[in-house]
Amino acid sequence: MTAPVLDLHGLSVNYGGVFPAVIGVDLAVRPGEIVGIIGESGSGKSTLAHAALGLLPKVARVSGDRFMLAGNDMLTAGRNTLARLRGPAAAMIFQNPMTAFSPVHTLGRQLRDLLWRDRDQTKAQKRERIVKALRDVGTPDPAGKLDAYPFQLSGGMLQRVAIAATLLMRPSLLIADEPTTALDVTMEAQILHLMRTLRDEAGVAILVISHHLGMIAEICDRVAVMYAGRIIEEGPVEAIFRSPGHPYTQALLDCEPALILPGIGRLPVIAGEVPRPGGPGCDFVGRCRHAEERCRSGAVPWQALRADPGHHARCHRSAS
Amino acid sequence: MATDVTSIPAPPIAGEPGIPRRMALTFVEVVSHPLGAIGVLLVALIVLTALLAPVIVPYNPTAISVKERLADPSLTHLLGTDQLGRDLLSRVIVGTRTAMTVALTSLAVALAIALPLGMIAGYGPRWLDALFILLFDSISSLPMIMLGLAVVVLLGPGVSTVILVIVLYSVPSYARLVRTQTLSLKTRDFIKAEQAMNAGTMRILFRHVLPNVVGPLLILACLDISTVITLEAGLSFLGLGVKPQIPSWGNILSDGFSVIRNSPVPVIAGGVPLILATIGFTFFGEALRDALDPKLNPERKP
Amino acid sequence: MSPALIEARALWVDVPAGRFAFARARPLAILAGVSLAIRPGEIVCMVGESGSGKTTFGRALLGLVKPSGGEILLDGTPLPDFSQRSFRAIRSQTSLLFQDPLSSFNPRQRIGAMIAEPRRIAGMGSARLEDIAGLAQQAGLSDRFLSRFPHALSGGQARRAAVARALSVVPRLIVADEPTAGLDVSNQGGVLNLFPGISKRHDTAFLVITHNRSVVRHIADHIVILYLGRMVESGPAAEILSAPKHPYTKALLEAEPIPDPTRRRTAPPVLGEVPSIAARPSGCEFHTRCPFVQPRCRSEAPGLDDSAEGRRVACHFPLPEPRPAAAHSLRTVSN
Repeated sequence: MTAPVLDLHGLSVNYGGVFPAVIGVDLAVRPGEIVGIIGESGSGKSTLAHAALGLLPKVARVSGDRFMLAGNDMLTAGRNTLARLRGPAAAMIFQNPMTAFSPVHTLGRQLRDLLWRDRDQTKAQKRERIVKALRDVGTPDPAGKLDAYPFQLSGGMLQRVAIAATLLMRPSLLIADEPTTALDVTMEAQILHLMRTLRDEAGVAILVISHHLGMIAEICDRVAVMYAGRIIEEGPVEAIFRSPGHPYTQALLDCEPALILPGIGRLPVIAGEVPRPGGPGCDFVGRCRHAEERCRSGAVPWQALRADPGHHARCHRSAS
Repeated sequence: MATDVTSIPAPPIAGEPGIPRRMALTFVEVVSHPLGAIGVLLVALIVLTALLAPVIVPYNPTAISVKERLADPSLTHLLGTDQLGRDLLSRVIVGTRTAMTVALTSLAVALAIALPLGMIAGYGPRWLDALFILLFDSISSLPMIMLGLAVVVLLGPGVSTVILVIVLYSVPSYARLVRTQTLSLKTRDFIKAEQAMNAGTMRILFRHVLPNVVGPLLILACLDISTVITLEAGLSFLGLGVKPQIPSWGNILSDGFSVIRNSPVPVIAGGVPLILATIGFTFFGEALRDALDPKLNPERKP
Repeated sequence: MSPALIEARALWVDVPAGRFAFARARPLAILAGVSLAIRPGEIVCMVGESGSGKTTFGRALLGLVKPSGGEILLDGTPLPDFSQRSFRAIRSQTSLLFQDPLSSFNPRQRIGAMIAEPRRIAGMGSARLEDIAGLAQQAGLSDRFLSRFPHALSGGQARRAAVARALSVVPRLIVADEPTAGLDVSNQGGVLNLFPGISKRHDTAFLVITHNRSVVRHIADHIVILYLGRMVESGPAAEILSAPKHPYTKALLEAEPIPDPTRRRTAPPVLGEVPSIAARPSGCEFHTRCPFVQPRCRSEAPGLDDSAEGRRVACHFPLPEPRPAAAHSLRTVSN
């Protein structure tokens, strides 16, 4: 089995020593895989995504047993290592494409700036690469876009340009943080299709973070579910959606309006709020309909589901 | 019991500090910066002096005693006396009161005028706004001292003239600030929500615009206190400010200037408080502005 | 039939003058003649993507945006003009729920006072704590929030507070702009479940503006679809969802990814993106993206035809009813 592009073991992120945003995350993304992280607000998924590229502020302390990106140890990486890795090893696209670009520079200029490492290439060669990348992501009139400013393009178009920008750097891993949340649904479908094509044709590993279950089901091979800073379930996408092993995942699917037949009357909700992470026992215990005494204290085991060794959940009930 | 919900008191709920606690937190923030601490000390000194002036003043500041003219500082007269034998320390203390009274009164009047003008300019029809801008720009294009001199010539010197000059000078910039804030508030959703609820213009302006523009305005005024004190001192120095018998740092300076060859003490006595006041209020105002700035303090809520 | 509660006829809203200051031959239309009648107690969902004008429609009904043409009728009586005074009658019977509820609250006003605001404006006596707490309870908001400031509320709580405020004067119509935006799936029910109850209890009509298909599926009585500021289809919810007639409606319904990995699409249902209102396509404005485009579509704009009672479509070649077996094949199945 090929080495994972992103290899996390026991990764934690703590803000100022006071607030644990991410706790003990184990995650591996292999080349050619699309891994999704499902989480709601407060789950820590965005923090995790930013940590993978070293994008968190200094007050966020990243620690863990192992944190490897394209074979490099990120826990001890200095600024030079990070600069070397960002781009070729991993690149990121963000939720709001409008703010991902500088408003006062043309897109052509910004894309060319990304190619600063390729000192041996001429401006014309770089321009050709940029136009090709824009065309590959389906941008109409790619050459014309080079002289355009971000405000002249729509959100969907800018997200395409953002993907083209990441392609230019030929990353092994693409991290997409809520890439379609700000887009229209007809554009979302096109961006998802584009991401799938990227994986199929270029073997790019993709880590997608979203709270949108439909999007995760549409393109991911494997899925991890985050709650209160921990990964509480992980497995193949079909298994997660068909037979979830954790009550939170099940509750989430129960609430998903697209999976509910019309005429139900009242839509279900998960009562209560996400607790502050890092408390004793299971963080979901206050809202779980199967809560037992053993759930309130002590560590909760991470165990494989009976039917499927590739599918794990952090719950006392999952092995039974 | 039927309690009016708008009079619900503010219980200190965990995580939701009440107003006194927020003020205390702001104070701590201000004092934690060295310049802010200096500013707070100086401001406190000046304000206390001004408040307690009648109580702490050792002599009658207007009592003339030609025998003791231009006495050096001694234990009986800590700063010595001026050319008319008046105790300088007493004059400086009462001068503090003059400076504070003039500054606070004139700023209060300026705020009271600038707030409604600025809100109307920002919220009302465009033509009215253009008219106000024309008015503000015209006044503020005149150099401050010239304006002051012109007014004094027309109305004669005195405290009310000084206040008028300060008000004329301050209103355009305050009103412009209020106007800009009002303009940006006008487009925000909560104002639109009020319009959608059929709220009248007066209600929107006073209940919703005013509380949200007053903050930056007060900080601006605080930073201006030092300018205003200097303006008053300057006019008094020229003999165009408060009447000569009322002690003011300006006229202490002016008197001291004329006897500077005999003794430097009166000039120092008039000048040093002015410098301290300027430094104190400037540092305080800037530290306050930084402490209240939501961008610099991300945990801070509006 | 009794007159509709509120009706818009051929409502136009142009881009306000002053933007795009360079000269244009014609003003740009955000809303290009939308006609819609809302009856008491019914829940109408207005669906569209960016550029559809749906948010503008909601605001124009209340006069927050000034219409440039058309008519608005309240209980069958047209407004005399589009001045702020004319809209007072509509505003006193309508509440608006903003897309971002927190931004619709005065940051310096406590929640309790904010909820009481419509009553105080309407002069309905003092705002008694029990009444306000009662409204908060109807909206599912705990009364411990009443003395807090807006920034202390989460997104879901803010939405509930906004609903409590909306209920303050028992409105006959609530316009809800993207009521689930920013809410986690586990919370959406909390807000959506309130609507049918309010509708039944007070006979309140709802105009829900959304792009979220799931919302529409569960609460709509009627659906209206907008594209580039024009209505392209409208009708009873059940019919539109099961048998859309306009290709854009069909594309919208199919574009939303389903949370079921066994039902993936192999290709996006429609390509390209919404044209700019500054460059409207000729003829049928959807023709540039329509998979069923014909020559006639490029040259001739279709009118909004009444194809059946309550059902309207603007298409030269409306889609036929799907056969029951074929309905399953509307989704392409993979692996």
